[in-house]
Amino acid sequence: MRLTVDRIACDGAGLCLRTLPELLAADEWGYPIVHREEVPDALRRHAKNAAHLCPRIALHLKD
Amino acid sequence: MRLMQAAAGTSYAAHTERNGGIRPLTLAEVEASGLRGRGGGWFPTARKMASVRGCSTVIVNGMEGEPLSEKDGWLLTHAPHLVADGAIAAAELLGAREIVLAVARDGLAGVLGPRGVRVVRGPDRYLSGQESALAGWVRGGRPVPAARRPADRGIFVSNAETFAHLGLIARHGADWFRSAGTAAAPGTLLLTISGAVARPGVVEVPVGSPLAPLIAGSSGAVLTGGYGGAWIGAQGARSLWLEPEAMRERGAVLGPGIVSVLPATVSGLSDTRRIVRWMAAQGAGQCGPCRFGLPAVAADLDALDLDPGALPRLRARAELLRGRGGCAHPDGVERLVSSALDVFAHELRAAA
Repeated sequence: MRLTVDRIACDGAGLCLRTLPELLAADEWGYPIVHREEVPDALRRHAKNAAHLCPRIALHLKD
Repeated sequence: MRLMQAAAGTSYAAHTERNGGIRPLTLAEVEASGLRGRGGGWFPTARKMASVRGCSTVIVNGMEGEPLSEKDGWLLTHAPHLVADGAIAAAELLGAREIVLAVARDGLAGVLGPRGVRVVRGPDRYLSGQESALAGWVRGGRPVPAARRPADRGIFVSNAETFAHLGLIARHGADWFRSAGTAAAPGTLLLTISGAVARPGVVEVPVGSPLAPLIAGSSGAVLTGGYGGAWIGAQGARSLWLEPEAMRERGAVLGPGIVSVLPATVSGLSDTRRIVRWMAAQGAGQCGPCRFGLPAVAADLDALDLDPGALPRLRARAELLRGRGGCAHPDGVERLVSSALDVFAHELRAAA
């Protein structure tokens, strides 16, 4: 599973950063820095959760 | 050279008299020609054509928002019918119903309208020429970059020069096209030369030509690829070959064919500061890197002489522009800034 961020849709709400700190970090303005696009199996549920929580539907997961 | 030789002005009669008519193009022929887009990305044109789903519209990008580029303006002034030929052949190949030429100035509607090309005047901003922005605008939206690719909405967009080459391929064929340029990047290209040079202006050369003779007599550092391009030191620039991959290997950018020589009296860092400030103001402001990153990087550049913390902060912030924007605009600024810190390192030491 791969994770991508729609940078135009993202407005830095930051919910994904709380849900998936293993793969994402905030820049100084709260926008996500993707450390790793590949989602390890152990984090699949959390990644899906992060995508659902995003108020801008900006976090995309592809198998 | 090819495009310049084919240029017969705005009269269609003069154009056909000099160049004859076009044959229909096939995707196989475009592929065999090896033509790559001349708007800056050098993406294979046949592959881009093949990626368009249910093509309805061909857009000729003549916006030329890049301040250092003059070649599209040159082409549309001197060879508008050759550009139209390529667009008409591409539209037939793709089954598109509509051909739109987007330009930043008026004046061509009377010339190309009769040939079925709708000429529209796009918003005169740097990012209006970004292809997803242009596609959105032609469809009635705002002229800002979008996540959705034009190909996914049935639109084939390419640079005016790409279409001019297609207009020649539709006459002379793929083998002829490959007889100039390199195997990986066949054909000729239009290059806009500016700055502290003896002969500024637009020239046409085969891809892979050496840069040095074109800027002979000059001695300054060279900005390659435009405002979103990269600086190359004076010596290195004079051994560059004008080929996209060869230039990238040396940290330079061919982009839409731009070369600008820094005058000896101008500080490279000051020039970069001015460009970055302008680029920050030109952003669409849709993504974080554009809204916050670019202004912050511009401010750090301004503070280099005064604040010892500015340089490490600038490096860290520039690094975070890369690959994180809604389009390639922040990436271009990162490249420009990083190359400036490298090429003009001596100015940094002088300031410290």
